[in-house]
Amino acid sequence: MRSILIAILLLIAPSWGTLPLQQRIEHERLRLKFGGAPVTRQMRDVMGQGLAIGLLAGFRGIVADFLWIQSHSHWERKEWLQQYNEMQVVTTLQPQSVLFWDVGAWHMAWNIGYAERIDTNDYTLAQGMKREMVWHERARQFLLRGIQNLPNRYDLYFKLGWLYDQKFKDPCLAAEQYGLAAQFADAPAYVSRMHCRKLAECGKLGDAYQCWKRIWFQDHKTVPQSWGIVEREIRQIENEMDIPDSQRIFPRQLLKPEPTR
Amino acid sequence: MTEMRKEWVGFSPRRIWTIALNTLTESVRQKVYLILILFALVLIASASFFSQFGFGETGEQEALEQLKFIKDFCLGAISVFGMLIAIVGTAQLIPNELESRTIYTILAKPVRRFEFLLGKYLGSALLVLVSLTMMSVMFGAALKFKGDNYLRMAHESVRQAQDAGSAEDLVRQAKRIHAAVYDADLVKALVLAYMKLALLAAITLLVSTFSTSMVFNVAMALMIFFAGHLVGAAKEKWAESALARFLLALIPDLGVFNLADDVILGSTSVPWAYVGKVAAYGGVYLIAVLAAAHFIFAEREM
Amino acid sequence: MVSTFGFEMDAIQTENLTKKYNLGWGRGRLLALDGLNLQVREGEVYGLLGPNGSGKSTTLKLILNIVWPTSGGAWIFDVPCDKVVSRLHVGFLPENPYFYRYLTGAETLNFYGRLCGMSGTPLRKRIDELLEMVGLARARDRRLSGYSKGMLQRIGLAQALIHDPRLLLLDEPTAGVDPIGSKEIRDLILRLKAMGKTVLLSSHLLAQVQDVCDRIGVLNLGKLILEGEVSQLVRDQRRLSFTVQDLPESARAAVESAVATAGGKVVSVEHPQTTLETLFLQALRKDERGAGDHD
Repeated sequence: MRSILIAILLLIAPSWGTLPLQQRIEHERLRLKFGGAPVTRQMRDVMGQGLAIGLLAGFRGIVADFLWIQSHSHWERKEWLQQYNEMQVVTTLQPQSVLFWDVGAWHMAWNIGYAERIDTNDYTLAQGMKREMVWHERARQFLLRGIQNLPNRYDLYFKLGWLYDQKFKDPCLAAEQYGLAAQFADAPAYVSRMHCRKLAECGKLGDAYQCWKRIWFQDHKTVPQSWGIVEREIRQIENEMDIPDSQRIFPRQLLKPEPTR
Repeated sequence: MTEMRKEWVGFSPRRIWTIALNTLTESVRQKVYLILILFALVLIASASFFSQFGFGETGEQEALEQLKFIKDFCLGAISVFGMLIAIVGTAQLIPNELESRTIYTILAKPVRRFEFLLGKYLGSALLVLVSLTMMSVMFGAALKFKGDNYLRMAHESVRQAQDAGSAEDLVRQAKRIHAAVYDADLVKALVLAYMKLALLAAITLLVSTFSTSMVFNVAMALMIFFAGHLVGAAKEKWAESALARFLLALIPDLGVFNLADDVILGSTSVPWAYVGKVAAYGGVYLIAVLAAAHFIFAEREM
Repeated sequence: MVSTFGFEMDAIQTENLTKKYNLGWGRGRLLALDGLNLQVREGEVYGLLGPNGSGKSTTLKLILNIVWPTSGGAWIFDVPCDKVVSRLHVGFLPENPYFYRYLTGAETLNFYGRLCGMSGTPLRKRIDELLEMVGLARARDRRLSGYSKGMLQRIGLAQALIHDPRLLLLDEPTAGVDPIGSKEIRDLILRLKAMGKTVLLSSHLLAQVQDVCDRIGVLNLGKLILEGEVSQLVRDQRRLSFTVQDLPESARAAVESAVATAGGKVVSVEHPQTTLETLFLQALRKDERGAGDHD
């Protein structure tokens, strides 16, 4: 009897004794964004029993992968809503995965959207385009949530900018997102260039000019081969803004043919 | 001979090591174990034959996606098989000793009960370590095989790039793939995975000190394994239910040992400090569990 | 070995050794051993006999501190049994042992030797020596799963002897062993006695015990009901047995009347019987093909 009581005491002791340690671990996990969002009953219904048990055993990644692959079989059978639901669950399980947000949004806005538009079985083309826009919006919301979870990676800002540009046809919003994306050290060089370009398209020539000048003078990422592109853009803006020669970076040379925009 | 032996009656780490090595040898030579570990190794190796193409938008995304699948799958397999070996391997130790009466021959020598228990545990921990190492090496090989494939494809497309801009981008993509393959943080995930398995083995040993039914031991250990993953959620409901409080008090939070998923996502690098903290947490529990096992076993008549 | 006072030491001494097992709630307690007072002198072979459940195994377990006495005490060479030191000079062979199935004979002995603190060349020499002594030298590299019952008993004896103990405790050493193996074990015990070792064995195979033991004690329901030297106990003092050879039938009546005249009584006249065991062993020895794994 005595030994059983001692044994129970010994088992309770560590959880009490390590409370400060546990708190510090908890704190670290929150900071590093380990684990994932809590799983709701609805999500467990989407998953099914087997995967729910796998989740209980701590195999978040595998469950997410499985659902991801499954969502693609829904894609092949044109079951958009199931695909959408599963992608939601997948990103809830692993909100730290850039891939799931990125590719998920691509599926929604580009693949599903397009498929809905050209699906003229039951709908007119106008109705199809309306449905496509619903998917564009879904993708936008999706990416915004993704950015909330991953505010320190350039990928999702870039994708959102691309979405604004290609699908919403809004260069101003696109420029904003490209600007945010370009701030990160691991963003590719072309992102800042796209930022400048979209600023110009948006009508903010002044900002665009500043943008290109910044690249020309301070950007260390651009490879020598791309300098030509930057030079061309600057020339164009300087022409459009009619900047006097004394203030230009590239003074006008009458002999050089000017490409029209 | 008498004079030399008198000094060996004290607490002897050498004796513990002898029992540990003996336990390891006996376990490794069992057919069931050999089949299990072989199956595990084949399964992990098969990951390198996963389909080459994924569902991504670009080649880089496909590669990263496939690598994620491979890593999740292999680490999952290592977890599952490691768990089987830890729980089933440990659950049979003391019942087998009682059945074959070897325990009587050992305790009839000047061997302390604690030395016996610790030696048995150490043997089990070594078995898990050996198994985990083998599986990790196979995983590393499979990952490298597949990863190098993707890297070769990535470098090929860099060579064939149309212009400087896309070449630069492709180089960056290749770097990303490289980082996904040669990720040192995977080692940290394996270290914590081993820590969790060592703790599970100790818990199984504790259960086997008061129950000699293998089935009960395994079932109980599995229950505690699942309960350990609920502790994380129980912490939030702590005020609400007595069950949550009970779980929290007795059962370690096993969820903190699961580093694999987060390492594979690769969004942040894992500091060794975190690994150290979790290892310390596990260490405290390990000592407590083994101490509890000692107290029960020392009072046990056979 | 003689103690400082010049008396011979008791190898084992128990004083009022009692063991009650709890049978669980509400079922009371089982009295396995009731106040056992036992003295095994150094150098003798003592047989503990009794039916199943009489307390023989319990006695051995109490001496080895595998279970603890409810009251009373036990000493090995004057060291109390609850001290780990007491087991320095004891070797134990349990009943029906299986040992570690996946170890070879030599590896098993190596394991037990290391447990006792031996190592290196002395250990290796000792292993070779013991394997020779118990006749398992040829099977030293075979895994124990391939050993017969008799071989297991013999390797068991070897592990009990690995550290050259002064006292041996054998629980049913010949149970389940075929007659040849049984004889070999008995011969080994006699050799050990000749080396000056003390042996306490428990058995319910009475015929086999008779040939080996100096003294016996009979346990029943936890109490010692009979104890003494085998030779004296077994002898019927009142009767005398003549074995006569080549006596013609006609002279038989004369012998019987001579006995009657002297005041005695002829109890029985018949041809003496050899034992089945002797017959069996002789037949096998004559068979040119040998006797299986006993070679």
